Amino acid sequence: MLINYLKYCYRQAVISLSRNRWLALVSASMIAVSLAILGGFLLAAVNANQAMQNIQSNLEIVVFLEEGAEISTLERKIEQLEGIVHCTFVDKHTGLQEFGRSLGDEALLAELAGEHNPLPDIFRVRAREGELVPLLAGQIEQFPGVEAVDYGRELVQTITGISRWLYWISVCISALLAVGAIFLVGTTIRLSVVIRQEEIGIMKYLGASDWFIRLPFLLEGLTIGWTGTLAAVVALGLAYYQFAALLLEKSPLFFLQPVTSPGMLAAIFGGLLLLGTAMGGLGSVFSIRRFLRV
Amino acid sequence: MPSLIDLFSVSKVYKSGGPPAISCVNLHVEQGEFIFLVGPSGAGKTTLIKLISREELPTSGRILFLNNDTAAYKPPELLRHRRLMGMVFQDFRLLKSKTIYENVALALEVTGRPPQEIKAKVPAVLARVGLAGKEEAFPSELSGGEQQRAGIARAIVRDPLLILADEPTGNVDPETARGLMELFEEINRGGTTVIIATHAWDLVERMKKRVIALDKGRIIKDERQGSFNHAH
Repeated sequence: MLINYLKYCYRQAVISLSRNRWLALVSASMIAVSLAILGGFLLAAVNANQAMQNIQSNLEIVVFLEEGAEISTLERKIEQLEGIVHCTFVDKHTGLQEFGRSLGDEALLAELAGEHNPLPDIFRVRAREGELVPLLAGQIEQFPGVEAVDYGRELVQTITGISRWLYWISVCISALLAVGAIFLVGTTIRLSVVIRQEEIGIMKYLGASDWFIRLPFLLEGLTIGWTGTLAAVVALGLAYYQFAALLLEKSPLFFLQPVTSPGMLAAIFGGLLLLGTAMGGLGSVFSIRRFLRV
Repeated sequence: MPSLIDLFSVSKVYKSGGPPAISCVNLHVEQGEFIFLVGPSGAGKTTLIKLISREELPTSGRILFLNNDTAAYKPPELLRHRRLMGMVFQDFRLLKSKTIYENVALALEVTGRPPQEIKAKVPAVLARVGLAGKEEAFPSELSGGEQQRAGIARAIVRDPLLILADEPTGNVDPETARGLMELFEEINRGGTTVIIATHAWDLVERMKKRVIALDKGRIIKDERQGSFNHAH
């Protein structure tokens, strides 16, 4: 009985969709556009996040030491911190040589050598994960004998800020588009309800249950949502595939590597499919509640 | 015969302060009866049919259907109530976009009957009402009488206990009307209770069935083997 009922509902939904195919197409396109934009921003956000992690994991914490600091004690304390993978001591003379080589100025190097060396002794510290860098830097800074630490705080903050902005812009634009799409699906369903008003009345006389009357409309909305989202996911997937392939091949910067984790991409695309289908369903429910009196 | 419908002091007022469409009506209908509701326009015939079909609720009084108070129905009971009766309308109310077969099949589809049963029952009931071979026709391709026969087929395809018909011959010529009444009579002989609201006085006169005459919402005459003339 349930299967017969579902078959009937599905048939009615298909008939109704073919009758209102242009409006249904516009609604599905609206959902497709809004979800393609949301999906695009989401992909941009996860890629920006990955880029930030790449940068952070390559960041070095430079620990500047006070004059007379106990090197071996400090080195042991730093190495005992959770998340440290590497800690190298660079004395002020080696540091000056490195500095001189980077400048390529032998005269300046000779002038600053010996007692006039202004550079302090340093540790170069690497963390296991980029995310740990700010925390570890903060802990090391508290150790006695440490004058200052540096790890490119400003760069990390800038990328974090951009990431956050991207996220909120995508949420706002997508929310606006989603409301428009839900409204359009609602209008499509409302039109279906109006067209089928007589049929609904007759079905009531014939003893059709409320859900027997409502379900075809709900299926119609879900189909619109699902179709629109599927189009968006396919288009976005193809575009991202091209983009990722290009970036993997010709990335100009070490940290610009695309997210290719199947789990992450499946979560984004699967989530979009669910969201779009739910938007279609929500539009129908809204119209059914408002315009379908059974 | 067991009781099918009982009305106890039933009144219906549509507009507060306005005249009652039905006023203090008492009525007892047994299973298997054939009843004509007669009376001038505005007498309350259609309201009475709507109250029995539970499309409307009474303003006061009680309506029992198979000894159940129709006002106290929960949704599943209301569905069962509607599925126990078949409705026939003056304007046929067939869906123009569906074939005659699909129109009749809809009555079975809404109750979730299996396709095999629908395929077997619909042609049989169309043959019974004289529409064999018209399965694939659309309502607009049929005469008024044929459309009403399709409406009757839809009403009886579920073997209901009761047929409620509101002016079923109002849109057809006298010859066709006679044929439709014979069809109702044949359905009634099978045990189905039939209640028909009509202005077709000549048919009422000829058929010698129970006649309930209404005027200004009140029953003014209730006669076994009555006639339209007596009612006026």
